[in-house]
Amino acid sequence: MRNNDPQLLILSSLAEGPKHGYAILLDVLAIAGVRLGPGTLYGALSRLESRGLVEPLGSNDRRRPYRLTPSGQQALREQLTALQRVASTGLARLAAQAAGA
Amino acid sequence: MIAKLLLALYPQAWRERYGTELAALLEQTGCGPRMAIDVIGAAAKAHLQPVAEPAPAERARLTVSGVLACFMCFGFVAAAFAKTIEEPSFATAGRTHSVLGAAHVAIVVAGVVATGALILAALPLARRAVLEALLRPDHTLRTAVLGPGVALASWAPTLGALAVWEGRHPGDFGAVGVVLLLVSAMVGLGAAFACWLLPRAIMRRLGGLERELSLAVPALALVAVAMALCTLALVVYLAALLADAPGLAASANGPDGFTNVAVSIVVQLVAMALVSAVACVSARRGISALHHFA
Repeated sequence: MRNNDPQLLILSSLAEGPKHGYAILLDVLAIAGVRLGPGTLYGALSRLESRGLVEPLGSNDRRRPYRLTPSGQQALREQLTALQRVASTGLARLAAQAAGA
Repeated sequence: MIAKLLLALYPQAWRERYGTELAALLEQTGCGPRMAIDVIGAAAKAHLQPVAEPAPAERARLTVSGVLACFMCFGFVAAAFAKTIEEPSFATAGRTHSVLGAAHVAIVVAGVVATGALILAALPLARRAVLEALLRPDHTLRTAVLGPGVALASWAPTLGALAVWEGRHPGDFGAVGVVLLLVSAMVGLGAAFACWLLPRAIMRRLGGLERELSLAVPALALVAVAMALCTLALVVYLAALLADAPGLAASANGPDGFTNVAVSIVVQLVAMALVSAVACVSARRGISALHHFA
């Protein structure tokens, strides 16, 4: 579980609503400051789709949008909750150490 | 153009599913060096860790391409080995030292078996391809079937010119000789690519081919085993050369004698071992795919 994991970033981006590849790249850059490469993006998207966490929407355009599936929402919620627990524990410990110093 | 080349690096099944979308994205992001490196890495990962296992027939077709590519590389290294030990003193040493001689014979026999098995594997596929090319009104298929022969026929004159030049200027290759060598190497490389890519394209165009692949894949497994045995025989040859004829092992080799025979053979051995290993893995995947044929 890493906060710059492409799959987690893509799931977080799609939590806002369906997006196509380029829109995901821009959103990930805006929310996490991570510039995903096109190969990395589609590698992660293909794995997420094979795990049933995202699904493509019909499109006449070459740029097909993707959205979270209910399983994808659940997986994202679990991962972010776990990250949040680690983050809040780490911050609390840092604060306690700073107060004791 | 660059985007097309980059997409060609992906497995076919992946390309069919995501190729159009990735191409559209590459048009928007551009294909700079950073993007190209990212896509090359992702394509390698798509091969090494496929999202979904390809269909059995596709896996068997990949075995044909994989073992064929390995055999070509192996042939190139084997030619380099033959060049390394071309001096008559090596043949004399082989007659004097039994292990060295036996290892050399084993290398040659394994090479002949690998070549024979490759021809055996190619026969059913080539027969079907030629028949379909004759029967179908498919211009692309006909061109693809003729391609390997044309490519090899283009290479032959450059080899001939090189042989004639070397015969007339023994020991003095000169600038013209170097140019001829480079031209022949480039045309040969192009011919090798054509002989590898066109059978892939033909197999994809014909589809199915289960019956032909059922015959070809076991023969390709024999090619891979023969290549592995050839590599083992080369290990024995190198050990025997170092033990029985250290003077020959230390003799100069390569252009202007920049290295020695033992180092050259070690490099060839490493290359052969890598190529044989890849061929064996590819053949194993092909054999397992055969079990899933209807």
